[in-house]
Amino acid sequence: MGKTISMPIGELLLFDTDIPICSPCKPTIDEVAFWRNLEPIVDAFPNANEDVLPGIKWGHFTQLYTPAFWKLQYILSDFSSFNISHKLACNIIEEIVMCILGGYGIPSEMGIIAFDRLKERGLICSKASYKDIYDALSSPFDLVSGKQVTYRFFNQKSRYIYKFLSRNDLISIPDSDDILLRNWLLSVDGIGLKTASWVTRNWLNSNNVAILDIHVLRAGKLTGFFESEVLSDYLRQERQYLEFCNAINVEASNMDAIIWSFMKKNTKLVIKTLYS
Amino acid sequence: MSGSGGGGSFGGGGMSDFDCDNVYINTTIMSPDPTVLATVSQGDILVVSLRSATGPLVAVTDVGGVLGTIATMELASLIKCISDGNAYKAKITEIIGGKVQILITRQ
Repeated sequence: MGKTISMPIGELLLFDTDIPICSPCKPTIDEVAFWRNLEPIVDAFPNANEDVLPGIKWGHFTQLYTPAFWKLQYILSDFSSFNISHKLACNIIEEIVMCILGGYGIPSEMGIIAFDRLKERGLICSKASYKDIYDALSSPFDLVSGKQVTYRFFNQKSRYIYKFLSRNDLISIPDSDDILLRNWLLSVDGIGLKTASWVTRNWLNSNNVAILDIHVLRAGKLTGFFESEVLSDYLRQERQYLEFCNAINVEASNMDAIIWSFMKKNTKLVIKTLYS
Repeated sequence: MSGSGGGGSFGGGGMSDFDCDNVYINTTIMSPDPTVLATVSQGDILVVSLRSATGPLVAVTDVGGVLGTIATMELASLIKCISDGNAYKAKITEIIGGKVQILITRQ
């Protein structure tokens, strides 16, 4: 097979193709034991040609974006073993502000930085002035990398956050029922169905709502539970997503986070696949 | 900021830390084809082939026999690397009881 050379620090094993592998050093990534342990689980998956929903086959977990692939992602995630919270903030008011600051066109990291500044300056309260909120969001942010960035939409978001914090019904937010909470959130200027669903999913771990952002929309198109990656009818597409989660027996609240994380990390590949 | 991020991740945690040039993945072939398996031996070099833009990755012999699908946690990363023009081979490192282990490296 190859030849072995004895060396003071161990043995250097050379294959015929001259790929140096140190022994007892291991190859960069060793997955053999992982797949051996996983075998009973994946062997129990439905047949790839079986329908998970009308018109959508289970597929094989070794192919990206198939229902079987997502099911395995879910099983491997921490969500399947632990009761992990999706909360981003310490109380419902802060959660709402955090989610207003995030959303369309705002990178997740930018929303968090903006929130942190509002919190550090004590501005997430009913007494905060519009001017102070505006100044906090409009001033440039110094990143750890040394780069300076400006929070996008500071005009619009300042108005939304000030109006929200000025409401006189903040002590009676219906934060124990997911649908009531989402409906209440829709009364807040600057909050549409997506942000309302996001807050509701985060705060209550709701499995009755979906956060249909671009990552989930693209995943839906690639997997087949959406006809298109374009958001055309939020409530209808939400039902389709929830139906899919139910069909593969996963919690929608957690599956959303798993899909979002994978699709965001692999954005370039996703775009190439969708649009080439 | 949608989503709080998953826990573990199969299929490739993302491209940012995956080096297409420096790939050493020790993994396994799922459900090897017995007919093709009978024609290969430990030490044989197979071609890693991408079946479609979304996978799967399969190991192919020099006469075109498909030994089986490659299971790897770096599926998305490898697919991206291959679609960017990189090529990979799979060396059979062990065959035990119908199970095949391979070492994936760059061509």
